[in-house]
Amino acid sequence: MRIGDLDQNAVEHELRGTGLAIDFGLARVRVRGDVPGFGAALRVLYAHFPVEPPAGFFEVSASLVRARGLRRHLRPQVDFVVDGERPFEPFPADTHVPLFEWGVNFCLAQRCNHHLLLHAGAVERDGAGILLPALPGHGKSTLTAALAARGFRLLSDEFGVLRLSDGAMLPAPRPIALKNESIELIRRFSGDAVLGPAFPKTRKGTVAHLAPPAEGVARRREPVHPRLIVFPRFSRGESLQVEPMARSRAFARLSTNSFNYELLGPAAFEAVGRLVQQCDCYSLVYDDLESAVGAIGKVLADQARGERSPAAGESAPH
Amino acid sequence: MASDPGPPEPRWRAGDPAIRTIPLDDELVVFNPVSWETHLLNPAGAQLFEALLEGTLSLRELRVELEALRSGQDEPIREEQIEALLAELEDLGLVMRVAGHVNDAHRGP
Repeated sequence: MRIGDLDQNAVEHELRGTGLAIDFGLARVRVRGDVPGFGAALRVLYAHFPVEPPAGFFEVSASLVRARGLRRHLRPQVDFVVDGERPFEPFPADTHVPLFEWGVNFCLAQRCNHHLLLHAGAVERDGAGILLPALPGHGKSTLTAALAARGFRLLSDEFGVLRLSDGAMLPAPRPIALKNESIELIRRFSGDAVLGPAFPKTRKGTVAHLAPPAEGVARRREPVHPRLIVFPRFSRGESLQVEPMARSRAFARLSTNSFNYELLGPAAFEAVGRLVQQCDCYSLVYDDLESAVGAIGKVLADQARGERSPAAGESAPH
Repeated sequence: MASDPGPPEPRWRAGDPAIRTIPLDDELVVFNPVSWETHLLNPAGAQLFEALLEGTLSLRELRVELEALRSGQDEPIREEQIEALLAELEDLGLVMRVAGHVNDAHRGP
């Protein structure tokens, strides 16, 4: 049975009781909450996830707790509580899903330091893992959502997780947070897109979440070895540019795009070094999702044929 | 009477033996476990550092090693250039001076 098969009352019952358990491969999360609307949104966004018993070990055990007193009724607020602590200031109660998702991200970044964590989208196709490391605001999540809509398996839009022992990418498929114009962009890009409610006036503008596709959820325990690293940057009005990147430059950018490179020290050094040695690395500038997805597909196809794609505008080697 | 042997010639070697390196094309990334910092060495720095990983060398010996790696069309390396590079790497803790040895050329009969 899947979470989406539960009726609304059953989801609310779990949230107010022993908690709703979600296993997304990398970690197990248990969430409780009594916030109006939260259960309905989770039922949509986590629809493909199996119903799990709320027992056993959880990397994150969190609650969304409505404020007491005046703040329960006057501009009501909600707290993210994890292990008895409130790591953030309260959020408005009608931004429950963004608070939950950002809170889980915060916890994973602190608790998964047995892996190398990159600030990157991560997808897979034909057995090749693709990392999309990017700074905030460069369109990483939107591009990751577009790739997932075009048949790439979603591993994550936020964390590129590398197992230190062998460099494999570990999946962590969760709802993709889309912001502002990206929401409508993805809604038009993919007729199958399942979007949760929109939350205006968050700290990042309007946020809505795209439910992870069923395939990514079903294969959430299947690691894949990385073969391609693409550093994307959305730039309105600029023509598509795909440029090979020197491994040394890719190393530098990956290490600065990591949540825990400095913490892990030599282990991270070896992991990033192995990563750039086994992957082809590119920068990608785009202003059109279809072109960007096509460009990544072409690079992947060239790689499979044993060719390295030239910079855009150059002719392929004979 | 033996002539003045002159000051010992400085010699250099790579720093902490636990320093890790990964070659990336003609550059080198280096992790220093003492400072916990990562450094990217350009091709010149990479060649010099890798030479010092192999053993202790004087400035003159380094110049000879590095010249051997260059093509005939490159300009000769000046010892001042090597000294400047060594100073940078020493500041980063990647190389260190060792006690100098008497230069053979200054030994008396």
